[in-house]
Amino acid sequence: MAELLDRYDADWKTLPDTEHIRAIDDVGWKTRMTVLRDLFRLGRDGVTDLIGELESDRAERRLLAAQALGFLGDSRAKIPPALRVEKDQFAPVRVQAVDSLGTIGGSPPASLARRIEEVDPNADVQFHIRFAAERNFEPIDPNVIETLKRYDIKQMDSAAIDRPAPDFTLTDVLGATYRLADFRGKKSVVLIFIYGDT
Amino acid sequence: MCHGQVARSRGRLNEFEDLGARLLIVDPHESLRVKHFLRFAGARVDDLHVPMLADPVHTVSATYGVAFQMRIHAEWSNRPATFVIDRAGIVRYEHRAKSFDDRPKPDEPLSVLKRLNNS
Repeated sequence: MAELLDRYDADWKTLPDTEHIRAIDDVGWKTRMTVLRDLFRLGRDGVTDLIGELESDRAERRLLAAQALGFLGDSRAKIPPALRVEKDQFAPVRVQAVDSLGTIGGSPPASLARRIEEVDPNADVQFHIRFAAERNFEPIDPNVIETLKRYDIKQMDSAAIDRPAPDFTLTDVLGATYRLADFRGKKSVVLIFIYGDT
Repeated sequence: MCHGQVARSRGRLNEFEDLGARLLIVDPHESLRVKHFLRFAGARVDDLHVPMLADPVHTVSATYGVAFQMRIHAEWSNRPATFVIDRAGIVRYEHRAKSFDDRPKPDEPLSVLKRLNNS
């Protein structure tokens, strides 16, 4: 566990607050992806150590631990993320800890939402609190966890001009499944990666 | 929160369809969360006309080289990016944002599709 997070610490460069996009040749994201996958593979065996990492003096380390705990959904992690939500100085850690509470619980979401909305001025944290309350402890789909556990990191960054587009299968918000290869010979595809853009 | 690239593309959906193309949108969150956000933004989930695909553990985003590269709303999200894939399944165009606002207007992928159709 420590070795995994040390690797992440070494490669994941903290950006100044004024910058929002990593350099085009940044490779830290690949380490982040690899470490997250390996944390998923550790599964329950890593939960105790991840809970310990919530107390790390490195904010990005606490963030990754909170995120992984939310996906792993282990009941031993009910209380520690709640403590992070209440006391962490770094809003992104509070956001991930709130997401974790939405999946593994620890406090009734509605009362948690009311309590934190009163004391946490950060709009992003409040957005996630509303989502956690709406989610009401619905766990992460086990297939989602398996998808990352099975992910072959050699596939990372393999899309390139004039090369075959890497195939994928994803489900949309209405539950319909789309496989890229199904469009071959029939339609072109314009693939747009976004965050919440409508 | 919304840059508007998707809204602008949806507004010209007929042009994409006339050129034989399908728009697919990928968001790096669980489906539940994408729905929550869409409702928060005032959109009707059943009236999008474009598939909003959920990539909750970033695997497709990582394969396309965009995962965890933009900080937005206290999260590390996808670098905004657009790819055009032709009917043979070959990548013919890519645009990877170098800043938050660095997104192609719909004219750009549309012109790529026209060129592909004429070649």
